[in-house]
Amino acid sequence: MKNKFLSLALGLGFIFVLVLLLFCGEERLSIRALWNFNDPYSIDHHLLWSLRIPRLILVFGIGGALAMLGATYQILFHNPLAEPYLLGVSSAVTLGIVISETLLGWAALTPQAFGMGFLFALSVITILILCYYWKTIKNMERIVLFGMGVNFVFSSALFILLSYHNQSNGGGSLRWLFGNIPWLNLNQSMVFISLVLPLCFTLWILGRYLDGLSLGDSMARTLGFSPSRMRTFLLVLTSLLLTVITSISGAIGFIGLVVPHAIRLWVQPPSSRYLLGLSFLIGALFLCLSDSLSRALLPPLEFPIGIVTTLLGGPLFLYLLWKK
Amino acid sequence: MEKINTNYFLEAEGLILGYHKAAPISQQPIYFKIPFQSVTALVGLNGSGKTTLIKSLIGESVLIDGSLKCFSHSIQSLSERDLSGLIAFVPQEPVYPSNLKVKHFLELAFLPQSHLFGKLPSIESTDCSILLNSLNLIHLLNKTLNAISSGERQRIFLAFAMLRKAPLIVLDEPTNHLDIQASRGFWKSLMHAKSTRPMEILISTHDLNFVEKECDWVLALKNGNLFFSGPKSVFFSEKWDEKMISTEG
Repeated sequence: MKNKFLSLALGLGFIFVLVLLLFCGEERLSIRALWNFNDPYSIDHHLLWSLRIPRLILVFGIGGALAMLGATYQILFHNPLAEPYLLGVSSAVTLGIVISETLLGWAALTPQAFGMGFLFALSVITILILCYYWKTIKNMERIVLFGMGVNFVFSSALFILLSYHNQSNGGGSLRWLFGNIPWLNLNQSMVFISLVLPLCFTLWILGRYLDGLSLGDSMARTLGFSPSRMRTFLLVLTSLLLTVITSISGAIGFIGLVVPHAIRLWVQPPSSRYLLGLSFLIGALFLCLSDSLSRALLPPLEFPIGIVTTLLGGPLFLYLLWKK
Repeated sequence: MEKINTNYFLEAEGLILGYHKAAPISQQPIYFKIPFQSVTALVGLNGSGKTTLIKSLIGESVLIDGSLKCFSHSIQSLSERDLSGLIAFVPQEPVYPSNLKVKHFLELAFLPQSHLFGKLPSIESTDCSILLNSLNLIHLLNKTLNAISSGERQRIFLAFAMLRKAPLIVLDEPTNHLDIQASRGFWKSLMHAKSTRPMEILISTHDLNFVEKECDWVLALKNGNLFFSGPKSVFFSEKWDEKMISTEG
C-alpha cells in the first residue's frame, strides 16, 4: 500500500517536472499557453506546439531509449562497462550521415542522409549477425571486440572527413562527437516517437529473456528458449533502435552507461524488466533536464548535450557510488 | 507430448560424444538404458566426458552420431520449449547476477510456464514456500546471491531446479567447490527434495561416498567411452570403482 502511494507520488512528480520543463527556455512562455487553443497564431501557441512540445517528445524518447539500451547491453554482454555505442552501430550511422553531408552534399535530417546512415548501420549489423551465425564470433566478448574494432575504424574515418571538409553545413563536428538534438516539428517528432516507443516496448517485454540469459546459456536453454536465437534477435532489435536514435542526435554519451548503474545502486532491481522500465523513465527525465540546461546555460547558444549530461550526471554518480 | 510406456527414462543408442566430427571424444559407440525411479550417478575422472554427455542431453552440443532419448523423446527432435518441460538443469559453474535477491532468482524458475505479457508468480504467494521451508532456505530469500555461502547457493540452485517441476533433474558436479560439511548438507537436501515427489535425478559427481549411500544406478565414463552402466550394488561389489581410477585401459 505504502509502495503504491509512493509510486503514484513519484509518477505525478515526474509528469509535473516534464510539464515544468516546457516553460524553460530562451523565450518566456506564459502558463496560459497550455489551455489557450483559441488563438493558433499567437507566439505562445507557436512556442509551445512548434518548438517546446516536439522538442520534449524527441528528447524524452532519445533519453529513455538510450538508458534502456545501456541496461540491455550491460546484461546481454555480462559487462558493467557496456554502453549503447559498444557495437559500432552508432559510429556507422554517424559516418554514413557525415559522408552524405560532406561528400554528397545532402543535408543532415533529409531522407537521403537518413538512408545513408541506415545503410551503413545495416551493413555493420549484417556482418555482425552473419559472423555470429557462422560461429566466426563465438561468444559475447568477441562481439564486444568486433564492435570496438568497427568503432575505431569508423571514428578515424569520421575524423578524417571532418578535418578535411569545412563544417559550415550540419552544425560542425561537435554535433557528431558529443551529440546534438535538432529542432524537429511536431509531425517529425511524432514519427520519431512512434518508431521508438514500440521498439522500446518490445525490448521491455523481452527483458524476461534477458533474465534467463543472465543465468548462462545452458540454463537459458533448459528454461525454454534458444539463447543464440534470442541474442541475435535482441542484437537486431537494439541496433535498429540505436540507428533511429543516432541518426537524429549523434552519439550522446554517458546516459546509457550511468543511468542503469545509478538505478542499481539506488534500488536493487528485482528483474530486468524492472531495470529496463525504470531506466527508460529516469533516462528520459535526465535527458530532458540536461537538454533544458544545455539551452539555458548560455542562451542563445546551445551546449552539445553530451557535455551537459556528463557534467550533470558524473558528480551525481560519484556521490551514489561513495554513499553505498 | 504424450508419455510413451517404457521402463527407461534415458536411453543412448550408438552415441558418439564430442564437439567436432573430426575429433570425437568417444572411440566406441555408447549404449545404455537407465530405469525409472532412480537416482543416477554419472561418474568418471576429469575429462572423461561427463559434462559433454550432459551438454548433449540438454541439446547444447550436437551428437556426432547415435541417438539419445529422454522419456522416449529423441533429444535432437525436441525444441527448447519441449526440453524445458522435461529437464531442469544446474550447470557446474552457474552464472548469476550477483546483486539479484534469492527470491527474485527463484521466481525465474517459472519463466517457461509464464505468459510473456504477464508477471512471474511470486515465491511467497505460491505453494513453493513448503519446499523452501523443508530445504531450510526461507531465511535466505531476501539476501542477494553474492551475500550467501557457496553451500547455501548450491542449495538455492537445487531449489530452483525443484521449482521447475520437471520430471528429470540434471546436476553437474554440484558439490565441486564445497567443503565436507556443506556437501553433506547438499546431499541431505537433495534426498529430502527427492522424497517430496517422484522424479528422476541424474547427477555427475566425484563423491563416491554419496554414490554408495544414496544412488541407485551408476553410469561410469572413461576416456569418453562408456565404462560401466548398472545398479550401484554391482558397481561396488565388482570393484568397478577401482578399475575406473586405475590408469591402464
